[in-house]
Amino acid sequence: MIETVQKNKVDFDIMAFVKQVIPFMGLLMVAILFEVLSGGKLLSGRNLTLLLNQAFTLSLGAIGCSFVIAQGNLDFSLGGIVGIAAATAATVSGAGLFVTILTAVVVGLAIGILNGSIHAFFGIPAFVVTLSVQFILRGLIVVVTKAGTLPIPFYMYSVDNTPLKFTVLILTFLFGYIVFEYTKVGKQCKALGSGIAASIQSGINVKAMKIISFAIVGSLSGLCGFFSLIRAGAASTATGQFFETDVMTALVLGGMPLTGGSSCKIKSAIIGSLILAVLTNGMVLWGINEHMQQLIKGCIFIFAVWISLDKQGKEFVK
Amino acid sequence: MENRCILRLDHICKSFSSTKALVDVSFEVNRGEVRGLVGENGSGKSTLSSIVSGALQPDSGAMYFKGQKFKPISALDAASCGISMVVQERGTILGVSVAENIFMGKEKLFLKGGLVSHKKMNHAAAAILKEIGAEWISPNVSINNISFEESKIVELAKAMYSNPDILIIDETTTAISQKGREILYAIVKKMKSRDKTVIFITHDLDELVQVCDSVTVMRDGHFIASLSADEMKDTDRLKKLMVGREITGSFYRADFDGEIDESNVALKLENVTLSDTIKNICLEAHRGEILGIGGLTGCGMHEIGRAMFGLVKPVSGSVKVMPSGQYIRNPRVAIRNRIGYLSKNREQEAILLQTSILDNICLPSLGKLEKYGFISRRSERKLAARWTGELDIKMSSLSEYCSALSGGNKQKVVIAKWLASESEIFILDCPTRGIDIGVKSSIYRLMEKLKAEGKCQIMISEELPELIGMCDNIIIFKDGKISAKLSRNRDLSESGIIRYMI
Repeated sequence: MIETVQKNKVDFDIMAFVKQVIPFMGLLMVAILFEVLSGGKLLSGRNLTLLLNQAFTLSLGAIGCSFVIAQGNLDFSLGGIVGIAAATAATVSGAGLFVTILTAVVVGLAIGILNGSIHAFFGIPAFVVTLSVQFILRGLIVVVTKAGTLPIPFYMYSVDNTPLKFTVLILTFLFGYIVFEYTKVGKQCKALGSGIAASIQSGINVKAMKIISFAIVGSLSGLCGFFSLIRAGAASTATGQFFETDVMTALVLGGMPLTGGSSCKIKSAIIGSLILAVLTNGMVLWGINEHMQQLIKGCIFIFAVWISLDKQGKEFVK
Repeated sequence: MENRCILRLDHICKSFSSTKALVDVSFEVNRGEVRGLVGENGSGKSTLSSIVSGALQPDSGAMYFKGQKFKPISALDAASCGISMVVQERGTILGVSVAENIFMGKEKLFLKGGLVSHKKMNHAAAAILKEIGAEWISPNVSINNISFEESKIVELAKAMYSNPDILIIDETTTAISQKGREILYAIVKKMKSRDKTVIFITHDLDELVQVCDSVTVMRDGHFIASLSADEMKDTDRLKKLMVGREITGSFYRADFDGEIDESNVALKLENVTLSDTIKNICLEAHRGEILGIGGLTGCGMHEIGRAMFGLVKPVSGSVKVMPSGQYIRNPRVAIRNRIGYLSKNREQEAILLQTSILDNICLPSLGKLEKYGFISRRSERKLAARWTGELDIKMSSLSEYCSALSGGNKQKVVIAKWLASESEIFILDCPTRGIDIGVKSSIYRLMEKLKAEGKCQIMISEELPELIGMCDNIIIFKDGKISAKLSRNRDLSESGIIRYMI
């Protein structure tokens, strides 16, 4: 008004830059740390394949989960979805590969829609809905697998190969990135996370967006279920256990704010999954037992959330 | 002669990342003085008062309180030294009673056998409320159950109880009605009679002249001038000091032609009933019309505004867009029918603070920007750049978060959002609330332009001067019903309208 400010943004925000870089630095650091600790085993050819396998399902889940988290919601049912998708897919695996994949994805999609609908239409907080659904699914998995394991035809083992996974991962990432950044769905998910009242007043169909986001993460978890199935060669009651916490830890490690909103980036899903995969793998190489690993992961999760919090709080610029 | 100076600011500077909120501000305030603090949004008034009241710490510079160096580390610290502040936003704590709010942190006074005696506390609270003339507020009700206005009065009661040497009142009057203001003014008087100091931040220059002994003008974080009671009566000069240039032409509309095309109805309300108190509202808004809706807080006009945008569903009756006759069932239908809505609660409902200016402006228009299901950055940027330019929004870039903008510029972003979505009907609920003269006047000019373009505007406002100054027709609400319809003419006066309101 007094003078029109027309300068371009020259002075850049150091804090914002640091926040951007921290996940990359983190990945680099854990990689170097465990490379040294494991005496060069971490980044050896065979172990790299193992790393990719671990990061792969995590990434798929995390990309899907980004849409839910962007809205400021959480999904605790992912592990259950992976498990039930694997179990049902294994049941129909005699009918061929295509039917198996389709079953896994459709089961995931259906549960996602169910999650979203219960949350949207009955107004029950999403973490309560998904946590309950998780318990229900865990029960169902025992019923479907008859508390044992369900094997798949031998020829399906060959589908579990690195080039295919790599392709699927890249396609999923592209899908996630484009939808997140260049479509109404992604933009409206982020808007919802930034402020629900203002989103409603800007014409966003809140219920539809909630259902869509849970549907996305549901179907991607279904796909994870399929890949877990062909990797293990069978579905069991343990399939998909702790998947949801791993996915959320990965996202937070990748720099995704759990409060959602416009600062959410889909690349957090990939970087975070790589960090967590390196951590898990590195701990195995280092000889840390499974229970200890869970303990350490729990601590890392809290630490990562603490880092991602905006501790500056509200500014009083006026 | 004794030193009357109670507070001296010495070269105070404060920045928020790249924004310089205060630059080298120095001035003094005396005992027994009521000092006004004015300036446009973003001029640094609130930052300054936050520093004095301890909520923020200056980057450099010093404060002297009663001659001693004063460095409060928190609002609590400042309060215990004798500086209290009533903030612009809600400053009460939800979920507890009025009395508990007043005596927050001082529960020890009411101990009885190790437990807090609520009876004693309520009794003491009632006495304080009575003393300031707000005896109708019951001390034992939950703070959630009283209006925003009443909660402000509770804050005043709290501030008065601590008997401060300096009381800072930050733009509190924008949210409260005449009755509340009278209480506030009485408190200011009482402070003065006790030789205490009041720092009074306001946008309302008439109020300023009425209440204050002197005024300090700020602009862009700088101290501009301090004026005495006589000097500040020249409001034109005051405005010029605040804005840094002459406010040319008239503030409101200059014409008195309230003629509109009665046949060209844009929005129609038929027997709209929202609750037991808001019943059978019928009204029509036309293209090319600025329709004003006025009344006291709680008269139902804001609720009617929300109903026009589909935010609340009428119990019976209908809201229709004409000529299509489409019912407005929810905000999505409203936006599809080119209705734009400026909420009274800008920060909570109209804008996403932690989101860029660009994303805010494009949000309702995403459907229109879609091409084969995708939205390109370029199309978004083009749309946002066009309207930020048109409205002259002060910003460092389109990707700047709205939280960094001043109140006036936030409001401009909200307006830009509805212009970008090609709205034909604008529902403006308190469009100039808490906004400085510069932006206010540009909003009025924009309203005139929209009127000339044949847009329909409905302005809901608690400020009678702007209703009289801008509207073709004014509808007055009282207790949930329409009590008067007035047409634009030279003779409309505030006093003439107030009688329909009470």
